[in-house]
Amino acid sequence: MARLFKPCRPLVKMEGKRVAALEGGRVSEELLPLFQSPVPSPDTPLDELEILALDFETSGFDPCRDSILSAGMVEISRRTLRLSTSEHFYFAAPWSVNARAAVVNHITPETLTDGVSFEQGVGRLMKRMAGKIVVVHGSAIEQGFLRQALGIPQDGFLPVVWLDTLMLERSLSSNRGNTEKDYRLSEIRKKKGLPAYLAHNSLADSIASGELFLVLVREIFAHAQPTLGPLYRRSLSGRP
Amino acid sequence: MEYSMDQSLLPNIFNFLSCTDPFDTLSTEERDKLAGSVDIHYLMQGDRLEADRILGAGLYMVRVGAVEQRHQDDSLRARLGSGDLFGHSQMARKCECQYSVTALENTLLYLIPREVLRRLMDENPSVRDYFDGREGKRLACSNQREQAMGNDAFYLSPVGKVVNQNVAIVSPDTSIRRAAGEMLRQRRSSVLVMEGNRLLGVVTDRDMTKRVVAVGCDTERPVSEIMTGTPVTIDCEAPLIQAVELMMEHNVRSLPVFSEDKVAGVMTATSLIQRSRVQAVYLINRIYRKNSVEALKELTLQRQSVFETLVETGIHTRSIQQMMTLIANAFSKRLLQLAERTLGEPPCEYAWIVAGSQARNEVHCFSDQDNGIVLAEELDEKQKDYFRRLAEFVCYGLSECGYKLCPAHKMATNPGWCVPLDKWMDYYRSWIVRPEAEALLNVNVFLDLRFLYGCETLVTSLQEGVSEYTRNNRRFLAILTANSLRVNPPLGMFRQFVLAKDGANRSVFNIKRQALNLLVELARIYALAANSGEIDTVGRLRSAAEARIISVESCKELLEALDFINQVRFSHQRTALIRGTDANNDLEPALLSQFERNHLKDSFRIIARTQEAALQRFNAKGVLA
Repeated sequence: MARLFKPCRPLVKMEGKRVAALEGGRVSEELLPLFQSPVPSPDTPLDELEILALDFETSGFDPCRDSILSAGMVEISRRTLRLSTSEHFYFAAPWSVNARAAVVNHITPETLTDGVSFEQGVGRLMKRMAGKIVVVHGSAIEQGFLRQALGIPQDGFLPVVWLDTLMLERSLSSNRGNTEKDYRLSEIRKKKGLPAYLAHNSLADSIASGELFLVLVREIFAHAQPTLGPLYRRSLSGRP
Repeated sequence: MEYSMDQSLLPNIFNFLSCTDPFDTLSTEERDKLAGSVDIHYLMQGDRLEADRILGAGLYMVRVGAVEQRHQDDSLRARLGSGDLFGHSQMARKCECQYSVTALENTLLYLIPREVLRRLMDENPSVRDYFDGREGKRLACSNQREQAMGNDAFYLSPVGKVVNQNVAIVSPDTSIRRAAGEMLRQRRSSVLVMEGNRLLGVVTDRDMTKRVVAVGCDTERPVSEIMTGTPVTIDCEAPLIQAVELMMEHNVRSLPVFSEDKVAGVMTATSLIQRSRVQAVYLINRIYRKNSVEALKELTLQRQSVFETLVETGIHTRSIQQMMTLIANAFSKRLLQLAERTLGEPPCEYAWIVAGSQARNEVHCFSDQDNGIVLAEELDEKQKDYFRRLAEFVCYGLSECGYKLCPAHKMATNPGWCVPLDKWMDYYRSWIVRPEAEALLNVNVFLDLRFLYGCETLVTSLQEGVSEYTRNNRRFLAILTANSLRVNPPLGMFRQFVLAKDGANRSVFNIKRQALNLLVELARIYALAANSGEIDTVGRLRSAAEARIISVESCKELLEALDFINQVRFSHQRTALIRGTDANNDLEPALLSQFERNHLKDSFRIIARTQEAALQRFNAKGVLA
């Protein structure tokens, strides 16, 4: 009965699970950084949050078989993308590069040998993500590969707030009754009048989705103060 | 390692910076580093960029979209499109932002934060000058192009710099033999005959052959008997090419050079002309050797090619105008010589005057003609007919040679502009005392007045009379100012449009009417206020600065604006010449480079600011209905 009167509040629920996990001592030492900051409440103004736009280049789509080749990220604060906070690194794992991914991403085993070790890479990712909202385009890939990298099951709990620009765009489109659409990052950007991105590297892509995020926030909230709750709800459901 | 764009992880931003003035001048490493420091901001149509995002923020670049700047009184400051920059003028301000920024369309902005820009400015003088905050300084650095130091530039250096200072001088009663001995001793091909500081005449080695040896003249006779009297001289500050022109015009092989009242040397033809491969010198040389209008007309194409070459070599626009004026003068004078040869002796003394750009030494390839005749006395119909035919010979001859007839008929062929000195004086008096609309048109052309040919003293008296009328004439200055201020420069350029003060978008702007003329007019007004007799715009501005009518800083930025506007104008004229199209002064912003657009905008601001200052200074508000 109680559920009828209590709205579905995924952020509040996530915070509850985070606290419980910490108290229950079920969080491993490595995962601790991601558990330490509280999950922001739904009414937190976006301008008060630290946001990280993130993108992985991977060798395929299956987190179990394929691996992360490179990661690119940039921070957003006060609705400004700050390239001075951008970071990009390759994972040193030359054996996992297959020919198809190399063609798409222009990553060859040679470039990967200059990269960081797997442990270093994951460590840096955790450090950058801790306490931040994460923005990605099509978050399934990043979520899946991150879980795999952290050694937790695909349905395991992580107190990370993912905002998916693809879902946010879909939430606006279904508003307009248009469901048959091209949701590729480049296509959506084109539609929004954002400049075309030339390269396929994870840093350029993280910036591209970060910029798109700025546009979507303005479109979703118009002149109202943007808060986290509505964004997260749309990001999960793809609906307004 | 060679750094290339492909290696940049931020190719989008890197590429954008690479085609944005002034960052295109940075090395690829610097540009890539800069790309990594950019902040990206998004405005939706109608969004305002809050003042705290502008004040002390740094430099904004419009990546896509468009914004509008408005002053605090809500008047339009500028519209900015992709590639345009703003914010650097507010970088050092703390309290109040001088303008607001509103998005006209959805807009993506790149910001180079203040500290990054400061560091960049410290390390790169070109970036520093660009963002100095003053338009004039910015223009100055744009004008630091490589000045051609080839032969063309050599001919623009002052005579005094290259003249041989060894001079053979004798008194008039010296014997011819001793004068020849003096020439040998000083190793000169000519000797000056002087009485104290006064130059009486010149004797060249050719004179010695022609007038002494060939006719068996007694070499003990005084040298004054064989000298060429009242020789043509030149000031040591004059450019070499003018020396060439004088030698051609008067068919002499040596020119005594004077520094104030003292002889500073003698220029000789041999070294200057015969071996010259400089087009302009060659052309002037040819002009004076032609004996008919038909023959002169053949040189028209050469004149165009001189202009093209000068613009191409990146010579200072001032020098280009000087060269082109000397060529125009040579055409005019040669036609006058030929006219006199055809028509016979003139019935009275007269002076051929030039007005407008030719008087200001500001001729370009497409200048039309403004001229007139000052007669020494009142003439009867038959005598008048002589000057009518002379004027027609010269003006139509000039037209044949590519100097278009003045559409307003301000030419010697107009009977009104071929009158005795006192009639000219009456004109000026009425123009200056009762400056009606028509009078203002005339006065703007004829206040720029220079003697070209004939009896110079006629023009000197005229000029002296005119300066009496204008001296301390506040009302006249107010009227000239108000008249000039009827035209304003554009606010700037927005995409393919010209942005007018009232916010209207126009597709072209007239670089002569809306920019250059305004500078010329302001300079004329300031020079009058300084009671200066300077005629060319540069000289006028300098004299105004010397008289403290304008500040040195203001003078400097006006000169930079003048040079830049002429650069743009000339390079477009050159393009028209190459395409074989007729060059007009209408420019389409779409055809300008981003560099030209940005710097023209700076020039416009300088003009607008100076107009505002002139309005205040000369109480010009409400003077004209």
